[in-house]
Amino acid sequence: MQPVSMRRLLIALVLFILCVMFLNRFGALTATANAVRQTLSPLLTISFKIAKNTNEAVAALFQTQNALRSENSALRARALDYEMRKAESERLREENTSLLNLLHYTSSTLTTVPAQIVSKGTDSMVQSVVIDRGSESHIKIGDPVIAEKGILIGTIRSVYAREAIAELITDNQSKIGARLLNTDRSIGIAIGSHGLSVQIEMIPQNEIITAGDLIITSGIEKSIPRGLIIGTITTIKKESSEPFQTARLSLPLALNKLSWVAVLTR
Amino acid sequence: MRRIFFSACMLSLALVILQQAANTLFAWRTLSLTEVSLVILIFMIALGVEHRLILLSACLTGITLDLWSASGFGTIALALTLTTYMSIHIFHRMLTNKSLSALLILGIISTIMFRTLIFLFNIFQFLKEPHLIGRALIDSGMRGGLQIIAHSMIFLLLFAWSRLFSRRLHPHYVHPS
Repeated sequence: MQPVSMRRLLIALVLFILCVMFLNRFGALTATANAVRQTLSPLLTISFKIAKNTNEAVAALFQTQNALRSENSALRARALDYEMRKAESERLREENTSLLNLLHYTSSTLTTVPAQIVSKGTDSMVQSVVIDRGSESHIKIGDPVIAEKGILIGTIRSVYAREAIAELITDNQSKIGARLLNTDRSIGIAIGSHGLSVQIEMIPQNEIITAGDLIITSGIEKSIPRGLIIGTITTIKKESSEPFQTARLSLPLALNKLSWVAVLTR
Repeated sequence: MRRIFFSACMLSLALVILQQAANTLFAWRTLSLTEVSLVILIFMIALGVEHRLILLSACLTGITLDLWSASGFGTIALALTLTTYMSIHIFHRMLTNKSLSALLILGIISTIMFRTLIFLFNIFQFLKEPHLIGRALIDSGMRGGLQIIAHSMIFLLLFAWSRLFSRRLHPHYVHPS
């Protein structure tokens, strides 16, 4: 080992990284970074697909009760369909009431951009996925990402020319305005919980929530429309000394099994 | 040096693909938290591979991983390069043999160092919402703990594999100079 040359190499590499960070900050490396992404994307996509298929194949090997599984998935699909109809019906009813009170109504101008998940994000601090659509498809930071008829899975965090990184709703930094479809129509914030699940916080103590209540987006964020499904309540945490109660949610989809999503953009 | 640079480019490309495959293969399980690139680089240090190659590979791998990272650009590159450099020093100054315990200790130290650096480099994200720091710290600690377990498992497998097929990790004294 040659300590001096190693130290020099380290200093050179750190300076190089700092230079790259500085240039990237001011957009000077955007073209180069996009070119590298475009070159390496096919390799990453292939490895992602191979690994995903292997993962699914191995998981399938351990499933011995095929009949039960298919019946279970059919029932889940029916339950999901029912939840979506219920959410849609509630949303339409509220929308109708609001519209009656409005003199002017501006129709939604959201556009759906279908996208394929090409890989997982490489950052261990953030639960994210990489999709194959970017600013060329008019995707912007903050746009909601949905799957299967309006189930929210995350929001766009970074956008490049032909790719974008979506932060999943299970990520710790994800915070989305939420509304419960209970009798009080409680408002709360859906917050990612350690990359594993979602919990809803800031629900006033006096409002009644029960397991099974459906959670939808409240539409408080400018870019996220109201009525997207987030999940259903499984457990409730209520402390009499606390001003708010919290609840843990069950997500309607397994986020790691998704292949196609859609981005809602204006 | 040109040969080292070319080898580092190839190695970093392989590490990025391997990291991506591992994260997807073990999606949403403990092993999905594995930083395979870090594990392989640390294992290469223990094997005695050319240090400049390892350091250069760490930098290139980090920059490539940063291209698909949701955090600030350059954070993985800086953390990986500094962790690798410190690991090389620790291995040669403090762990003077090529035993399993030395490899595991180096793995644990490097994992803690890497997670700490990543957390520190990302801390500016919480300046707008300081109340999230506590949550992020707990999350980082939890993941760090699971990562240590996952990395140790992989080091055990790599050590067993290298003992079977190579003599490079058979216990012997490594002179600190």
